Amino acid sequence: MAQPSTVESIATAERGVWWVLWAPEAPPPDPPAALADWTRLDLSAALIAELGESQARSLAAEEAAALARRAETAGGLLIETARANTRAALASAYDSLLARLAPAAALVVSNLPLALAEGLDLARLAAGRERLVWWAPGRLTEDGPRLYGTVPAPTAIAAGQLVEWADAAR
Amino acid sequence: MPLADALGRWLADRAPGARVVVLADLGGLLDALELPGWTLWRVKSNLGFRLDWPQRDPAARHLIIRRAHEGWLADVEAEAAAQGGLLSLAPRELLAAAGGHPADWPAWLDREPALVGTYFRELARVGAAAGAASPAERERIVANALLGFDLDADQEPAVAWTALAQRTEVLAQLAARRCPLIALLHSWLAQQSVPLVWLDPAEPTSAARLTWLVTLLAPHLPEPGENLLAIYPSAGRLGAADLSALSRVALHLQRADRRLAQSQQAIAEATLLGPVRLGLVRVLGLADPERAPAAALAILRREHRCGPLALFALRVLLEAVALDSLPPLPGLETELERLLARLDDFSERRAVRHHAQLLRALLRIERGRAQLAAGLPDARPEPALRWSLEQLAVSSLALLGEELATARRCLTSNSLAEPDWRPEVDIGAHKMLLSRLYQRVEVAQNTYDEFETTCLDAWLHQPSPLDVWDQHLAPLINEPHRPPMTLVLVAGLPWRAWSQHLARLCAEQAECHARPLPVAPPAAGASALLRAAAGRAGSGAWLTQLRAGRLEHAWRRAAKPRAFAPLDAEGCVCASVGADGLRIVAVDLLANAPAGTPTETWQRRVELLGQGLAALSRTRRSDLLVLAGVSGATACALAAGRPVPGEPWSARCVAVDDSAASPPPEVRELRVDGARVWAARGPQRLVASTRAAVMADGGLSLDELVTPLVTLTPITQDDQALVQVSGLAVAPTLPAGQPAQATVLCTLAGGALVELVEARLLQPEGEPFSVWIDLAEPRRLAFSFTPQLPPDQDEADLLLEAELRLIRRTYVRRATVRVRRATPQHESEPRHEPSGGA
Repeated sequence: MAQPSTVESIATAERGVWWVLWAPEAPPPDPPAALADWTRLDLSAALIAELGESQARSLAAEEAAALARRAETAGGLLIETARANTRAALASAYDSLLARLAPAAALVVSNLPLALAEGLDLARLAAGRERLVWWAPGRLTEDGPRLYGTVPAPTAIAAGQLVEWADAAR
Repeated sequence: MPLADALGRWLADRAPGARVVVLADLGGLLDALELPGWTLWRVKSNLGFRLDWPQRDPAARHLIIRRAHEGWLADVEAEAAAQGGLLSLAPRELLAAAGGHPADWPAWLDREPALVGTYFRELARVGAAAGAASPAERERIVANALLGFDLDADQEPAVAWTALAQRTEVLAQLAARRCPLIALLHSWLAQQSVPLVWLDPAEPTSAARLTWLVTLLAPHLPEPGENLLAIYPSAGRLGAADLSALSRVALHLQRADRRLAQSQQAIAEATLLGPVRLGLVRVLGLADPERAPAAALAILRREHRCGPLALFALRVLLEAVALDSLPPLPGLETELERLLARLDDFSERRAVRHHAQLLRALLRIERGRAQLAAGLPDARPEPALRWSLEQLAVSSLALLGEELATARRCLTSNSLAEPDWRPEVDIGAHKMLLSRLYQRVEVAQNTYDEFETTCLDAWLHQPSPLDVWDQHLAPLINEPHRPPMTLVLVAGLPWRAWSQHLARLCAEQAECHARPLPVAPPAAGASALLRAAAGRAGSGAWLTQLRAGRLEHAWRRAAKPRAFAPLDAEGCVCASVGADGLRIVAVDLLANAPAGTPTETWQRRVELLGQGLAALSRTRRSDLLVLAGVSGATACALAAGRPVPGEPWSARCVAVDDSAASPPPEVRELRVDGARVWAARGPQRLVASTRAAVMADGGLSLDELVTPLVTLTPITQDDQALVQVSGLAVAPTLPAGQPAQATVLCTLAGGALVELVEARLLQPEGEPFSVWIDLAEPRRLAFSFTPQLPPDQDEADLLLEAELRLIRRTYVRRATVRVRRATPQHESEPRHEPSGGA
């Protein structure tokens, strides 16, 4: 079990990428106070904010409308088109987010589902950065670590150093 | 139990206390669900879900319904799993929640969640009532609930149709998934009687079928709604029982998709069997022998289709004819004509065609037989001929031979041999009816044969060319010490014209005797009459007859008299033969224009004849005898004391020239078969002044003026068809191998006939041309073609035929064209200045 002292060692390390897992059944904790001076990134919320809520809603409505026409002859094509539009818009939002985060040398990234669902390249977040912590629920299984208990971690995350979190309260 | 209650009960059982439940609903069972006490989430978009999910009320209970591959929910599933709320739902479990046990339901229901979702209430109801039924019974109960009618009870077709039509889409999907329910339905349908057995679950468009049934019957029933119910009680049970609305839909269908409409109509017609037919026959009054013929005529009048109703009506009428119980029905023949015209358009039912043709033929035969039954009034040749001509003038009698053939052909058709129209089939009675019809045709045939014999006898009693020989020439030839003699036979010159134009001239300038010729010199008219009277070909050229009759004289071809050279140049000197000091010269003043020669041309020829006779008299030391007469058809008509009619004996025409550069209206007087007729040319039709001029002559009635398509052959002058009439116009002589034109002309009939005419030009060994002409548009149509000659001939006749099809009648116009290999010669006639006086 990673102890708070371990987190403090992350906080004091000069370079590195860490993967801090916490139990999915537990309510999601905030990143520890030791990392308070790092830049915090709630990835799903940041992407939606970068996109703008109105555009996000209109993209979502487009997908829902396409899904409602699933039974039609070209229904599959409609759905694929709507999803591709969403992905393109999110990719563009991700680009500008990365540009804005370029100066941040130390980053704590949490709330990954939207990025994972839409297949964004998380390695770009880590690239060239001195210190990065992926802050995510997950557990170790016989087949290796799993995000949310079931999802294999993307390469960018798996390449990091695995740290399992358990604070003193648990 | 409603679906939501069952689901609530199931959730309470499976995930008590869970605040977040993720429920996999792969088949869309819960697509339309509302669940009180739960916030329902259907993940349609990751982005949309991530927008809303963080704002959820943490205190509420959340049910996330997910279908396959929709949404990325790993984090939410992890949260739900922690509370025991990660569930998946099988339709049978949900049904069990409504009562019973999952095993009580057929296993295939788990593969049809959408079906269970749609019909959950019905299934839950029967499930509760089923109790401890066997699996087979349970399967049947489920099928009844899903199909909406009871497979075990006797089913009204209309009810089953409606239920299946409402489920068309669902059934199609089930069939695509090979659902056992479809197999069950098929096997049930196969055991049903008509018309359910025809029902195709893949396309149970019952509304359209019923609509067509209503449409089919509506014209014949005063109150389609009520009467339809009397005939077809189950129609009232249909969901859409607003029959007037159905009629409107039917009208729409009729205009919309023709193929669909026809297929639905055919199905509706097919329902006119068994009890439906029985009811229909009763309602329409066809069952009552006295009312039946009138009712049948009414059906024919109102029935626009040519389906079974028309066939019923025709069979009723045929039966009445066979039993001699057909009352006088004005308009019946017209209706039959209309029906046959419609059949031409659609060619729908061969049976209808045969029945209609047979009935029409029988009506005409009956009329002709009655007309002939009066018999020959007088045995003497002239009255007999007059009588026969009068009989033939009635067109129905003239066509009686054709009608008899038609009737005989139709009687042998298969459709006639089918048992009659009644719902209860009586084959014996049907055979009896057929034999009566055969008998009727045979009797008429005998009468007609008798009439033909009479006609022929009457004609043969008229003087023939051989009689002419015997009466006029034989005494001359056999006279001892007879001086040389020249005999001029002139056709196209009535005796009155001789007296008026030539008698004095010849008396002054030539030593010349003249006699009227009592028969027709050219054989064309005679053969026409023989054809008309007896359907036989004529006896050939008159000169051939003369030769054949008098073989003892060695006739040889003689040079044409030089004095007749101007006439010969016009092609009027037909032949010149000689023997034993007797010379016969045949002159036809109407040569080269069977349909008529312009009067001025004819007068010029008469003058040329006079000059020729005078010259002949001066140069030859021979007696000169002129036999003058008119040609066959006119002579016969005159001999019979009849006025010369328009058709078919001579071509009275009103000709119209509608060429682009129209000359001013003008009336031409023509000689046709020796009789005067009028032709007019002008841009459209006879102008008033022209008509007045023609009427003043008294020769034509107004009807004749506007009779369409009456004139047969072209009238040529200057190698051009100047006066162009309805029919076929083509130059009389054409050079071989060079492009030529034939013009088909259609004259507009008077009054309302603005119709389409289909014109076809048939030429031997060539593709027929065919085109539709709108008579409101320019009415001439030129066909280009290239006449060819066989390699070993320098000259040949080419027969062109033009078919003009106007509504239901076809007019055939023929023209014989002489095709020559040599360079075409211009045979333009010298312009003739009209000589005043005559």
